[in-house]
Parts: sequence; C-alpha cells; structure tokens
Amino acid sequence: MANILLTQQCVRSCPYCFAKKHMADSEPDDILTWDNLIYIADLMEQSGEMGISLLGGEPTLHPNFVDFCIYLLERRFHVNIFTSGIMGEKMFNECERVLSGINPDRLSFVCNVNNPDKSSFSELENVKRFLKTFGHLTTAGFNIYKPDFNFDFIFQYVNEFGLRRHLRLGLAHPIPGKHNSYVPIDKMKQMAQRLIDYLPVMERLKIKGGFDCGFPLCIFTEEQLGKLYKHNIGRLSFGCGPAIDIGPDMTVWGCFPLSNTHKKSIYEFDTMRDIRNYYLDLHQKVRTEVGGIFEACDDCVYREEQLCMGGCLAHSYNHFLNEPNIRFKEIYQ
Amino acid sequence: MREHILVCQYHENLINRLHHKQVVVKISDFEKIHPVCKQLNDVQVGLHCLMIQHNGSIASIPFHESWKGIPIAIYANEMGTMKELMGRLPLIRDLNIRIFLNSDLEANFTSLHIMASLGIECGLYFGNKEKINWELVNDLMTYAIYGKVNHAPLEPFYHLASHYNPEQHTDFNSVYFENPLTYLHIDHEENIAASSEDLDNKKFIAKGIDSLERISENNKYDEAIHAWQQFFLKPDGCAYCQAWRVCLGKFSESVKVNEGCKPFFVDMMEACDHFLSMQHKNKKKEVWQP
Repeated sequence: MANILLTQQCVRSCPYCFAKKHMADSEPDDILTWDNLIYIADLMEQSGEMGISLLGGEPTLHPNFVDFCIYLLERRFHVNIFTSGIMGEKMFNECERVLSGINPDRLSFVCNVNNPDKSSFSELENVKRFLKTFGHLTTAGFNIYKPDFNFDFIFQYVNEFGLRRHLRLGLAHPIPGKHNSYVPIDKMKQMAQRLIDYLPVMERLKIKGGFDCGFPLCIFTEEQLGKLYKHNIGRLSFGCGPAIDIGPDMTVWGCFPLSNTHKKSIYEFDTMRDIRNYYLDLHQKVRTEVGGIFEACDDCVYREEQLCMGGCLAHSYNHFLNEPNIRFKEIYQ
Repeated sequence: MREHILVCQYHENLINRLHHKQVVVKISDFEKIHPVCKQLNDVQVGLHCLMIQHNGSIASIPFHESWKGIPIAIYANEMGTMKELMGRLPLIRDLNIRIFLNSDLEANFTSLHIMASLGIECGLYFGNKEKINWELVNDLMTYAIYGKVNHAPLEPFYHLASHYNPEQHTDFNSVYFENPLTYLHIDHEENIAASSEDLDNKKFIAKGIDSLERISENNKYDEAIHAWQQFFLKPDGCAYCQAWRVCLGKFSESVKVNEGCKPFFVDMMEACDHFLSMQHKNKKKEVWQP
C-alpha cells in the first residue's frame, strides 16, 4: 500500500518525528492537487493496488481532504488515513458528517497518539473528540522512541472510545544526518523487555500489538519471542522494506527515514511494482554493504532466510555519513 | 440522404408540427423533462436528445431514476464538490447523460478530469475562444486519449479520435449538435438555420418544415455545408495549418489573439493517430460471417 502525502505541514512537533527532515526541506504550502491525485489513483489501479494510505504532515490540513477521501472511495479504493486526530472545528464537523458512517471495510484511520503527559490540554481534547467519533474506524498507533516508554493511556482510549483492538507499534528511526529522538541500538533490548512486560495486560484486554517496520528479531530472547508468537498467533514481522511514499510534488522515496536519499519522480516509473522494485533493489545493495544494525547481522542466518531484515535501514545509512565515497555511488546520492 | 435532426427550443406548437422527425429539444428546467418526453411520444416525434442549460453546479441537479433511458445533454456552470455529489454518482453513471462544462472556468478542467475518472460521460465546450487555456485543453485531451486506466469518454476528444479518418476531415461540432450535415436549427416560426448562432442572428437558410425535404437542393444549405472551403480561398490562415483536418477553422477569429489552438490540434491529430493504431492493434480476429 503506497502512502500519499496530502500536505507537508503538521500540527504537532513530536521529538521522534522521522518526517522532520522531509518537512523541513519541503515547501509548506505544497499540497497535492486533484490532477496529481487522479494520476496516482490511476497508477495504483493500473498496478492492481486498491489500497491507499493518506498522510502528511497532517492530511486533514488539506482543504480538499474530505473530497479526496470520497473520490478515492468512489473509485473503490480502501482508504487508510494516518492522522494525529487534531483538526479544526470546521474540518472535524465535515469529517463527522461525511466520513463517520463509511463502512469500516472501506475506510480506516491510524491515529498516532502521544503520551498525554507530553501533550497540551487542547491537543488532548482534540484527540479525544476525534476518537469519540471515529473510534470504531481507528487503530491507535504508538511510536516508541525511548526504552522506558509508557502506553497505558492507550488502553483507556481503546475502552472509552471503542477503538479497534489492535495497537500499531512503531519504532522511531534515526534520520541520517539529522537529530531526532529514537531508541539507541544499545538500548533496544531494554525496550524489548518493556514491550514484553505489556503483553499480559494486552492479552487481558484482548488487544493485539503489531510491529511496524524496523524491529530486529535478536533484541528479543528466545523466551520473549515465544511469548510474542503466542500473543500474535504466529504473525510476527521483523521486516524493513520499501514503504513507498509519494509527495505532493510527485516525488517518490523508499520510506520516510530515507526521504533525503534517492528521491525520484513518479513519472520515471510505469507501475507501482517498478517503483517498489527500484527501492527494493537499492535497499538490497545497501544491505550487502552493511547487513543490519548489529555487526552480527552480516552473518545472521535469520537475515539470510529473511525472517529478519536486520533492523531499520536508516541505521545502516548512518555508517556511510562520514566516510569517503568508497562504496557504490547510489549510496551517497 | 439521411434526414436531418432538428434542434429547437421547446415550443409546444412547434413540437406538434414535427411529426416523425428526430429532434434535439432545448429546455432549461429539469421539471420539464417528463412533460416534454410525453408530448414527443404523443405526437410521434423522435427524441434524439434533451439539451438542458443549467445555471448552477452539477451537484445542484435533481438527478432522478425516472430519467433512465432519456438521452440528456446537460450544460452546467461547474461541478460542485465531491461531498455534494456523494452517493449520487452511481445514479448519474446509470443515466443516459453527458455533462458539459465551460472552458471559461479553469477549475472545470479539473472537474472534467475527476468526472471522467469516475466513469461519468462528460465534455468540454468552448466559451470565450480568445481566453481558452490551450495547455489545459491539451492536458485534458492527453488524459482522454492516452489515459491507461478505464475512464468515461471525454468530449470532444473522444468523438474526434473515434471518428478520425486520416484521409478526410473530421468535424467535432456534432458533439454540440452543430454540424449542418446532421443537425439543422429551427425556431417556432419554422425558420431554419445551419447553426444555433445563425438562428440567433437570423441568418436563415430555409423556412418551413416542408422545405426540409428539398434541403439538399438549397443553395444556402450547400454553402453552409461547404463553408470550410472558404478558408482555401485565403492566401494564409487556418487552411494552411497542419491540423486543419480536425479543426476546420473553428478558432479562426480567436487565433489572432490566442495562438494556442494550433499546437493543441497538432497534438490532437497525433492522439487520433495513436487511437486509430490502438484500435487496429486491439481488433479481434474475425472469421468470415455467413
């Protein structure tokens, strides 16, 4: 599923934001046009991909946000929206009137929530207002950026607002050459233990946790993996592959942490598969230079068998930052 | 010679006199759709199309299931928003309707792009010819002809491409019921003109419904259908344009202040050739038929 950026502005300033670099380098007024949306929808339909994620920045800042959603739904796409849930009164009312009654099989939200302790009162009120109306369509997303994280508050959201009983767990990744908050490699095992500590309460509340990309397998012990295996009914992913992002200016890149490298124009490709293959090939080349985030990744049998991808590629890119250009040239572009 | 289709404003008495003719009836009120159809049926006048000028957005049109099967051409000002159209698109797609938007409003180019991609048959009609943004026309044409994903036909591009013959000229004005080879315009006094503009300017070619039987012998009619030949009597101008065969000098007056028509129609011809070659390529093998 490709991610389409409707805007390049956000209403929050999260310390872990891995889109920070992209946002800083972009024109804030640059928003996706109708003609470009139709082009992307055509490309996706032609490629047989009928799922689209809309994100930003904050996608609801786009003046045509609701119309875009209706348009894509009319074209039989499944629309998934990544939002902070924070929006103005007018946009909220419009969303409530038009989108809240859409079949959950056609429309879904991922609401990235931050710890209430770190959020302002108005931000919290906005998020709650959103969850109250769209809870039945919403999966909570939580980005882990420090080893001693706490997402107790999400359980309350799930129960109070009827959110989907699934928690999307993201691991904040470094932006090569930039400063953002993320879990340092040497603290990952501590973070893993903290995650495992949450499993009993999640099981009691029947909430499944799903990993977003970039979790390395070996930060968990054998015993922890066993618990995770049971918790997720065997569906475990330690992947890191190109998640195709498409900007309002019709540039594409292989995923947000790598948004400052290898940006291409969407017009250089004929299908979504071509785009995915291009970045897959590129990522594989990088992995031949640096296997993964740990030195042991180079010889890891699980990585060879693609059970684990060796953590986020952005960590690997950090290796190349201050070295002479001795590797294949695309790495440094 | 095929009998002409008559284009007229709705006028009860005139309709009663057009027995067994095919007509395009112009109305401006959606509530008249059924009464007009009923009258045409009662007096055995064939309906080619209802042409409705709507001074509002498409979203404000009260589309109704009972219009199914009735051929309707709607000329509207703008599309309106998706929110306003939400839930009504399946009905619009089901109706025998083609919606036209004016080139004067640049937002209409995007609206036509949206509608065609949603499977709604639509078209562009040219307003102020001196102010046409030919780049936008070209973008729309490119989508209409080269778009890889299924979409509804977009006029007049689809008409041009699907009727194009490299060895003849092609007149896209039929899309707007303005080609005198097929359409003649008549008022309630039975004055007949070769185009709606001529009818408005009282430039008549004949009078009386009975005169239609001998229209092919009428000198003014003959002049009208061969008006394009006048361009070849001038030392320069449209007839010498590379894209003459698909334009036929329709923008001869405005080309002096807006030269964009030429590159557009050159690209249009290329698109027509592409369309033709695709048709040949996709032609199914057909074994002889008894």
